[in-house]
Amino acid sequence: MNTLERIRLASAFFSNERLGFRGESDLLTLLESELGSVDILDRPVKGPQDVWMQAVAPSEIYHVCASNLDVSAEMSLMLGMILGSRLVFKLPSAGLPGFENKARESGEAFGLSVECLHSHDPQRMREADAVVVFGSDETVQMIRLQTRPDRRFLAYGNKISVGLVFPGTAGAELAEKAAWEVAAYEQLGCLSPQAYLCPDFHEAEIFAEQLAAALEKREEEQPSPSRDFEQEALIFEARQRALLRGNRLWGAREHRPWTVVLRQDGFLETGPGHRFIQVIPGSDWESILKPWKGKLSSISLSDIYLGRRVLSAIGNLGFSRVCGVGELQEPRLCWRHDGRPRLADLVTWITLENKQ
Amino acid sequence: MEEMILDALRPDLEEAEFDALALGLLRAQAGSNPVYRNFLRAACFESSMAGHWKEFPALPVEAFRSGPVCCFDHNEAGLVFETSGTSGKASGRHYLKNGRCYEKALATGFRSFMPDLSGHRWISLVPSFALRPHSSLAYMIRHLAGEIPRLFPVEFVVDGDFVLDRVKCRRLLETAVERGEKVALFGTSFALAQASEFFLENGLVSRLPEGSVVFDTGGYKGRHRELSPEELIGLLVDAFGFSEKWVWNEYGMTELSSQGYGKLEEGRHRFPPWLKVRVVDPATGTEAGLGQRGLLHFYDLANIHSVMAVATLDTGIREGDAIRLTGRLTGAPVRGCSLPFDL
Repeated sequence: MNTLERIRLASAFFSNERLGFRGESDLLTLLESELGSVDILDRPVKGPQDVWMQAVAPSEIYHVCASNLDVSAEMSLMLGMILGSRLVFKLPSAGLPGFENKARESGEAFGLSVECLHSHDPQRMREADAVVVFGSDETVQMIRLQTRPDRRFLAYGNKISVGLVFPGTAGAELAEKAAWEVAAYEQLGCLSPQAYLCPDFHEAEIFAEQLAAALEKREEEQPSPSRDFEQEALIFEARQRALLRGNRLWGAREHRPWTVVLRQDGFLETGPGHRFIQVIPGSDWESILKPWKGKLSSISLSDIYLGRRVLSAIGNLGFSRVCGVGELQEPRLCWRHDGRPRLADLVTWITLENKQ
Repeated sequence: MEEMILDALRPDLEEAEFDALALGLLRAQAGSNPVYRNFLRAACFESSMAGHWKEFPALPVEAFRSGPVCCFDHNEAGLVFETSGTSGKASGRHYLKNGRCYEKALATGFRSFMPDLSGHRWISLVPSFALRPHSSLAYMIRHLAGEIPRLFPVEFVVDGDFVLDRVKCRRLLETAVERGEKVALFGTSFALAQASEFFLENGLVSRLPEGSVVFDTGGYKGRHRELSPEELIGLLVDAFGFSEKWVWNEYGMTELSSQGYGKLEEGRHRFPPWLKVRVVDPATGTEAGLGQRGLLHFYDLANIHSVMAVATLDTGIREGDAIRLTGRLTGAPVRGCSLPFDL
C-alpha cells in the first residue's frame, strides 16, 4: 500500500470530526505542507538545487499514552498509519478500551503491525526509531532518560489552555460556547480551558454567573459522567482552597457537578478538571498568564477581530493556537501541536545528488 | 473557656459535653479567628445559625501554610510548631498561645491508649527539643518524658537532622538486652526504617526483651522509600526482635493538638473523646457511610486558640470507633495532554 492509498483509507477509517479534518483533501494537504509532496515517502522527488529527496518514515514508533484522553493516542495512530510505520502503544494501566479496539482494527485494515502494551517495555522502546510521549513533565523526563540519544523523541508534556473575554463581549451565548468547551472531554486535556480572563471586573462577575447558568444547562444536555472518589475529592479540595482564598463560588454549596470560581485573588491555578472553571478579573491579563509561559497551549477569544490587536502578546506568551470561544476542543489537523509539525518531526531524509 | 476545655480533656468526656463545648468554641473562633472567619464568609456560612458543631465547615489544612491561623496576636504565641515543608510546599506554622491544652491532650491521650511505659528505657529517634525547638514531635517527647514517671532518662540517639548516632544507639540497645530492660523506641517511620536497616546490614541484630515497644510517629518525608506497615514491622521485628503486637503508631499532625493511636499491624487509629473525626464524602460534603472512604476532617477541642475544625487531605474509613487510614490526596495535577503516566 503506498502513501496515497493509506491516506484514502485513513480518511474513511478515522473520525474526521474528532481528529480535526474534513476528508481526504485535508490529509493530502497535511502531507504536502509538511513533507512537500504526497509521493515523497514512496519515491525520490525532485527538490531544490537539482537534488532528489525522499522522506523515510520510522520503521517503528513507540508511543507512551496518557491516562486521561484517548484522542491523542488516536491521532498518533492515524499519523503512524499514514507513515506506514509499525506502531507500539504503551497504554495506561487502566487501559484505553475504545482505543485498543481501534488500534487492532486499523492494524488489520492497513496491513501494519500495531501492538498495545499494558506495561512499559524500555528495551522495546530503545529499539524503536522514534518515541512519542504524552505525559506529565516527570513522565517525559523519565522516558527521555530511557531513550537512546540517536532516536527521534517527541514529547507532549503539561500544558493548559485559557479563554480571554474582551470587555463588552460577555453574554449568555458566549457563556454557552464556553460551557461547551469546558465540558468537552471532561476538561482533562491540554485544550481544556482552565480559566477565562476578563479584563473588566464587573463583567467578570456577570460572566461567571452566566457561565454557571450555562454549565447547569449543559448538565441537562450532556450530564457529567460518574466520578470516582479521587476525582470527587480533588474537586472538593479545590473548592475548599478557593474559598480559603476568599473567592466566590457557584455550584459548590449545592454540590452541583460543576464549579465556577470568581478568582478575586487574581491568580491562575490549574483546577481538578471535571467542569471546574475559573473566571479571573484583571485588566493586566498578560501578567496573570506570564508565570505560565511555556505551559500554555491554546487561547480562545471572545472576539477574534479584537484579538488581532493582542496577537503579538499572545505569541510572546508561547501559545501555539488562537481560536474563538467554543472552538478550543476542535483543533484543525494543520495545527502544529505544541508548535511542532505533526509528521515532519517523525521522518528522516535521503538526498540524492548527481552533478553529472 | 480555656479552663472548661482543659477540664474536658479527659477520657470520660461525654458526647453531650463535647457537643456543647465544640459548638461554643467554633462559634467563638468564627468570630475571633480572622482566617476562619473569612473562610466561613466565603462559604456563606452563618455561624450563629448553626445548631451543631458538625455543621461547621473545616478549615483546609493548607491555611496554616498561608499565614497565622489563630485567635490572638501570633507575636504573643507561647509555642510555635512548624511543619516540615516537604513535598516542595512551603512549611506551615501552628501558633499556640500556650502549651496547656496541647500538653494535657497529649499526656491524657497517651496514658489512655498506650501501655504503661514507666519501666521502659526510652530511646528517641526524634531529636531533642533543644535541637528542634519548633518541632511538635520533639516537644511531644519532651513533654511525655516530663509527665510519665520513668525509671530511666530519655536517651536521644539522633542529631537535629535525624542522623543516627550509631554507636550510642547500639550501646543502649546492647545494654538493654544484657540487663533485660524493656525498651520504648520512639521515632518517625523513616528514622525507624533507617535504624533497622543499619542494624540489619551490619549484623547487629538484637533481641530486645519481651514487652519492648515501638512508638512510630509516621512520616517518610522523602527521606526513605515509603514502606507498607507490614514492611516496616518486618524490619523492626528482624532488627530488634520487637513483637508486631508492640509496634504502635501515632496519628498526629502539627496543625492538631491531639493525637490518635493504634497498633501498626491493625492499621486503625482511635482518638480521644475531645477529638472527633468526620469522614466526609467529597461528593456531598456529608458524613460518609460506614465502610465508605472519605476525607478526614478533625474537630479538636484542644485547638482552642487556633481553629478547632481542620480539613486534611488524608482519606480514611470509619470502622466502629476507629478510623482506618487509606491514604492521602496528592493534589491536582497540572493539566496536560495527560495525567501522570504509570509504568
